[in-house]
Amino acid sequence: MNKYQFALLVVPEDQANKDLVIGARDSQPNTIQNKIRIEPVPGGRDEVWTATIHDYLPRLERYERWHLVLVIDHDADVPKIQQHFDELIPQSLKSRVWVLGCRSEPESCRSRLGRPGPLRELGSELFNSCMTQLSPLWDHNELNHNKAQLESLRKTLQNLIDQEKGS
Amino acid sequence: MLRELGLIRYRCFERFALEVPESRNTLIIGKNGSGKSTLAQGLNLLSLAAREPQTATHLANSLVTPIDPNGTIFMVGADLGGQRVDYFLSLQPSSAAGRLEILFEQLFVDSLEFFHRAGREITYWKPGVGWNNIASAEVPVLALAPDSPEIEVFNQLRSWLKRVIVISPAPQQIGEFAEDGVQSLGVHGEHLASFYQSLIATKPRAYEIFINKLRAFIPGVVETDSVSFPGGRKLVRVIFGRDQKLTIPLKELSDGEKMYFLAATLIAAQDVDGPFTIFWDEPDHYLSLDAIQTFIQALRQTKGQFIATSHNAETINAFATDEILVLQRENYLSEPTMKRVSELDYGRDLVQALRLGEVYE
Repeated sequence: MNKYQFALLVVPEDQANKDLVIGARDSQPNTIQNKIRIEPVPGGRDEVWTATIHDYLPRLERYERWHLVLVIDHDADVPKIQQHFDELIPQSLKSRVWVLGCRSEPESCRSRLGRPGPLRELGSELFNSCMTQLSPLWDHNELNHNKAQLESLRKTLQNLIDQEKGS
Repeated sequence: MLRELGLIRYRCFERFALEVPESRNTLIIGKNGSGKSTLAQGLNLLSLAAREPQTATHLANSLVTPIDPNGTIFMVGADLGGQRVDYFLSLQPSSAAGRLEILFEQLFVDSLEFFHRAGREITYWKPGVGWNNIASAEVPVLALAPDSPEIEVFNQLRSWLKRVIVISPAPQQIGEFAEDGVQSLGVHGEHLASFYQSLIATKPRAYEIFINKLRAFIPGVVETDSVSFPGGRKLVRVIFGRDQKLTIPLKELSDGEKMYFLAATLIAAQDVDGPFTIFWDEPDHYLSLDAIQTFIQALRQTKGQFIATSHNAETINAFATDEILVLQRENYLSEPTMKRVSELDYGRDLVQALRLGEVYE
């Protein structure tokens, strides 16, 4: 971990979201995998926001190449998540922070998507080839609210890949 | 891929089977003394048996605890070429002092027996012919009598077991000289220099993968070289700095740097010569806290199978719950049991539950 190099810190709300994140990381090219750091699980959605404010935003202020992804359950209240994002994340950092998550929670999402396997495998399926083409699973009602955030995150990662190729 | 590892009457295990999850990556956690390292010893013994012909007595020298007077059984189950292969080896003390003998060996393919040895009586299934019997004098473990035809599945099992690398590194035992003809790593990494040198000599493409990984692990590394000495020995060195060069023999690297060298070598081996099954007892040992996640992820990325044991929160965080097994043992008189983390009630944060001792019964 180098504080002056690109890093994508991922904060999963709980163990189930962490399983999704591990699968997502495993499915990425090595260039991206090596930049992703999975942070300790705060244990709840409110705790994620608290950790973001107290632990992560100050670090993003300090290290301009660090980025943050929060993976939280939306608990069927997508507008509230958006409201938190708008209110809590300073304008200057909004381009380096993303919020993703299931509309309900990972276990219900898995069952509604018809994927009985481990959440890790669902995470891999969702993010496999996401740099070129999003899985159709993202169109499902459980996940389709993430598309704008995903597109923005994809552009940032694509820039990283392009920079690495050029260096 | 390793699917099952069994131990009967060895150290804390009276009758135990580790069932490995479907994932390529597995983490085994458990309190001190729960038997994690003992599992590594059992797997290492079977891998040693496949590497070169060994008698039961020679083989048991790799163990830290004597074989049980009533016989110890080592078992391994693997998916090989779409078949499930199970192998059992039972060793017991011989009437001759200080010696061991094979009590029995058995080999099953998809639950059907293919090979059986009881003492000196060997019975094996020959396709198109039927059962054959041989009475033989002392025959090495994992081998038919020398004058008998080979069984293909036997070769497959041996070939796979040779590719099982059990490592419980002791950095102080990692030397700087590579010796000709030594190809195994050694359970403590004592032959790392030889293993590395043999890899890049036989598979030159491995060097680029190795050095890129080592540079990523240790900033400032430029390249490695080796200097020939009489007797075929080679001194392996790591070179730092481009303008002002600093050359350090492998032996003089820090403990953590030796782990990076080891991991870079194994990752290169997986890439050009794999797949291997790597069982690494506490891979996070000797590493700084900020480095562990990247290190573990690098090992997860390889195309082979990676099994680790650990107590470290950073390592535990790098595995999904379906990949984590918990060894439980109430006390030193009870036998360990194994559970998948996904079967346990650990709340919303596994690491916190482990720290508070909630995961263990």
